[in-house]
Amino acid sequence: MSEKIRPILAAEDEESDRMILELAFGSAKLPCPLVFVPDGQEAMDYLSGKGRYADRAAHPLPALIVLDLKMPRMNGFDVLGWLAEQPDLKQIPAVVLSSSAHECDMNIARQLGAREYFVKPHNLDELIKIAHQMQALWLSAATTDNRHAANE
Amino acid sequence: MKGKLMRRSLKTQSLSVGKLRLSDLEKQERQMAEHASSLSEGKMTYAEAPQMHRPRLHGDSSLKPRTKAQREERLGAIHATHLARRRRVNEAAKRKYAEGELVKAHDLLAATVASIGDAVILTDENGNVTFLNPEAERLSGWKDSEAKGQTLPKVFHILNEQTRQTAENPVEKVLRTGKVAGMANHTLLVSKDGVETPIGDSTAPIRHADGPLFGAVLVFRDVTAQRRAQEAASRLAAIIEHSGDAIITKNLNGVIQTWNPSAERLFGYRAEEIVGKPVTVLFPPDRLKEEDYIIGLLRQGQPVERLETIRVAKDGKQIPVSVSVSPMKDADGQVIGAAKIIHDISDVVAAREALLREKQLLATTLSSIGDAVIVTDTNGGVTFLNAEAERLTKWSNREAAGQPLRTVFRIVNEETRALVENPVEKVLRLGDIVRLANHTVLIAKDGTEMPIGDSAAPIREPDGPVFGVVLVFRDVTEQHKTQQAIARLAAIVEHSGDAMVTKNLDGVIQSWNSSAERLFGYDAEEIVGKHVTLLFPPDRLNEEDHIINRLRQGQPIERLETIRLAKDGRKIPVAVSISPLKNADGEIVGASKILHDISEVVAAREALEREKELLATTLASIGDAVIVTDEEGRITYVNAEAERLTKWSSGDAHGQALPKVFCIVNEETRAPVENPVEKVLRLGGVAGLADHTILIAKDGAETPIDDSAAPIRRPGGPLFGAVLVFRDFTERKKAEEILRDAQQKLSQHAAELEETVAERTAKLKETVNDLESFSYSIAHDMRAPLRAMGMFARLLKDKVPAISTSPEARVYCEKIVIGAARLDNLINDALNFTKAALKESPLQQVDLLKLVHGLLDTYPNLQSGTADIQIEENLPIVLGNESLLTQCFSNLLGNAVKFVAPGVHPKVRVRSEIKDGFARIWVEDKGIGIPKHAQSRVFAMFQKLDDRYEGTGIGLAIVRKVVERMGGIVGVESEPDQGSRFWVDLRVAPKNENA
Repeated sequence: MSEKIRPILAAEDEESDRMILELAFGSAKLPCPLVFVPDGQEAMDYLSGKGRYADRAAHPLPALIVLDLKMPRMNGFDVLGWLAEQPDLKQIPAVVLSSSAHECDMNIARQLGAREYFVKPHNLDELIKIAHQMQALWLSAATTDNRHAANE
Repeated sequence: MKGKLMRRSLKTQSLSVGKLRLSDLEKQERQMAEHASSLSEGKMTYAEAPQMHRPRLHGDSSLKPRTKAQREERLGAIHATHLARRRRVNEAAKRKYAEGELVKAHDLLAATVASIGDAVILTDENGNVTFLNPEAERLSGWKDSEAKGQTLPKVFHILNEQTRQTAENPVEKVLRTGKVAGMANHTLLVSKDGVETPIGDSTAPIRHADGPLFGAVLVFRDVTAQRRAQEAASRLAAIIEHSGDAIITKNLNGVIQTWNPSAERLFGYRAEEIVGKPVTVLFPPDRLKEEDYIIGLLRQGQPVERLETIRVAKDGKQIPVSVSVSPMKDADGQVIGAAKIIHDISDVVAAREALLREKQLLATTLSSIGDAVIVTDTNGGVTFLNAEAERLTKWSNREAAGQPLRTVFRIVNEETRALVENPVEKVLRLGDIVRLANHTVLIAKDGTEMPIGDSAAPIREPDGPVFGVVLVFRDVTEQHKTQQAIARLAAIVEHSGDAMVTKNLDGVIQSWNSSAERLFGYDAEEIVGKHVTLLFPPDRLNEEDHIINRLRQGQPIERLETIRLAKDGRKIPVAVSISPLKNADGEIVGASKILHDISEVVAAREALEREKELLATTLASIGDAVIVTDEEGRITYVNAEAERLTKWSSGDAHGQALPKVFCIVNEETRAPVENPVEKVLRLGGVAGLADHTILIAKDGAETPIDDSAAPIRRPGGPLFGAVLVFRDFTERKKAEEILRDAQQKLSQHAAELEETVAERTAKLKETVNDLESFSYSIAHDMRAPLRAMGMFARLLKDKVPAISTSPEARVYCEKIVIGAARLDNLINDALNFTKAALKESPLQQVDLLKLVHGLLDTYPNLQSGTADIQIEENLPIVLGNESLLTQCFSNLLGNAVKFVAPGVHPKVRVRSEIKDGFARIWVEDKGIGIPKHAQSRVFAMFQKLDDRYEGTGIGLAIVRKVVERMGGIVGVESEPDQGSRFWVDLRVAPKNENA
């Protein structure tokens, strides 16, 4: 079995947020690499192996999907809605990490299948805590798999 | 009341009539009995008996025989005496001549002649008087001496009693014939002084024995007594013959001897068939022994008085009779038979039976009359109580009998309770009728009391002694009630709203009630006795004559409307009703007047007139045409507009049938349309005209009209006409068109307006939506770079060695971090405020206790470590919106823990009060408080009162906004350094909808 290490797929259009997220996840020493896509559409392309993401070996399916809500082309809700209709993909946990603290955004996200909704915090330490939470809840299996994969 | 009294007087009358009849009958009966007994005892003759059946007899009562027997005895005696006398005279003459002792004889003769009862006149042979004895002297009025030598006819002047002719002189006849001659009957002797005496006589010649005649002797006597006796006898016979009573005689063997016609009538036997029969023929078989009794008495010479028995007539009919039997004696006083007077007492028996019935009737009447009657004897002992008396006294007739009256009839004075004198004792003392005092109360045997009125009267025979008292009394409870009723009537008169006045026929006021005082202003004292015309205005004085005339005819005057004058000269319109007043005899003695003040009526009537006038004016001047008809559809009124439209003048139209004036056809068909008034008169309801009706005027002009007709009637009364209202429809048609246009325009405009509103609403919604998306964009687009700025500044400060080692650079980085955070808060709050103001937030039931506790769990600044927040358990369920309430209370609680003096541990209390459906939620802190001058501005936007504390100045503005959006209000009470007490009033959720 030459299975690739499964990454965390984060859809984030904001460059600075991508940097901060990388810093925080790095600091949290998550076992999975962080793969960014700039919007919802790219996220869907990646997940369905379209276009430049056709090579699944180079672009393996993620262990966790982290979605911003407000993005160009396809937003976070669009991705959640689409994901729920993909029988091969819907078992991949997806969470929202958004600057919006609107209740209605949270409610919609949950209804569309988001496992959790995180409001983007204002300091790095908070974000690192969120990263630890994500690892505990959804990445333990991936961690083991990834470790196995690394050992092979 | 009247009826009762009348009934009573009738009873009294019938009672007295009864009494009268009773006493008459008794009297008659008594008299009859007395007469019968007098007759039978011989105390009284038939002639003396003043009886209805017998003619009254005249004559010398001393001569009248007392009984038939005595009468016959006496008649017999007289006759015998006369015969004896004659015998003696003849014997004396014979003796004189035979013995020749002339002188002796002469003397004897002379003495005899002088002393005998008969008158004797002697004449010589020539008929000249030679002698008159004393009796002759007495009867002729001539003295013997003066008569001597006179011719006989002179001295002895006789007349035929019946013819009054001079009768033939008996002496002349004797002298002529030489024989004894008798005198004619019925001869009257006329004496010298004219006295007439009936005489009987005989004359004999005087001659010597066988010798020549030498004179005549005339013997006569006064037959007055005899004649009277004969008359009496014949009268008695006639009486017996014609007596109403059967009179029979019988001998001691009981054999009938005589039988008068009344006996024939009574028993049916004729005299000839019964005389000689035993009297027991007349006896009923069971009464035969009566005869023995009668005979027994008769033998002892005793009469039988008034034996009431039964006798049998020939036809077998039994006749009640009263029999009186007297013994008949012969001249020697021996009883030889009996005279029986049998009086038919059928009538008496019938009368007696009637009497008994009458008595019975009286007793029944007494028992049943409405008045109580108690009869006592002379000692005041009760002998009789009638039913009413039994009822009132509660004593039965039987137990009361013999009791003293005062035991049975206990009476006391109503007020003093003192015993009232027993009226019967008074009657017995005074012997006259007495009445009881007023206000007397009878105490019955069982103690019940009732007011009574009474009178007591003595019972006595006419003019005889009192032998009892009759006490008549009655329960006057009713009468008392009547008196009260009268008092009430008087009170009604006194308090009647109408003036009531009585006057006599002279027009003088007799009584004057208080309403009269009020109406006219005169007191009763000052006006009674004055003439009623005092109240008349001068121009109406003649009314009184008219009134008095009608009253004298007994006619009332009903509702004369006139004017009367009050004391102060005010004219009062009044309605006067006058009734004649009659006294007990029904004579008109005056009048009662009821005067009703009709000022208001007159005023109302005037108002009505004005109203009519007003209506008429209105009708004449209104724009609608009006035609009024009577109940037969004839026009009685046409107003000006109707004149204009019909072209009929009011005068011409009046009295016309409506269709002639109001001629209407259908606009299209030109067919005549039914006259609406006819419809109204037929149906009695309001009728409208069909559309498209054209009125054709008198001149042929046509006008489209619209109308309605309505019946005229008094409420609930019969219809007495119809009113037709119509109008020129030309104008209205135009008006309708204009109206339709206007309406069309209006609806068009309204539609446009609606459209505009919808448009604008849509635009507004769009704007709101835009605004919301704008806010949303701000949230993302503005805050993301800020967050990045803050984070990178912190990274610089902490992680980049060149900067983290430079104190200056670290401060700058810190400033960037703080500035970014503040800007983020500001944007966030502004966003929340916008959201509070714009977002649709439906109201629901929200459990405040749960909500506040949730806040404490969520917000780090509210955690128990940072602040001491006490929440009362009774926070209510309110009507609100959860997110709005979250904003509200997170801000209030945040402020409460924030605004405390440095180093002070915040203490907050949340509690609630409920009043009138609203809950007031208090959030109280012990913080720095708010200066008074600033309290009014704390809820305004961007008001920051103290720069020492972090904040955007939007929090309380958001609180006010969200509370107002939930229909509540918010306020604050605060003292600087003491703390602030914020309150929010929110509607309490209805209990039944508690979730």
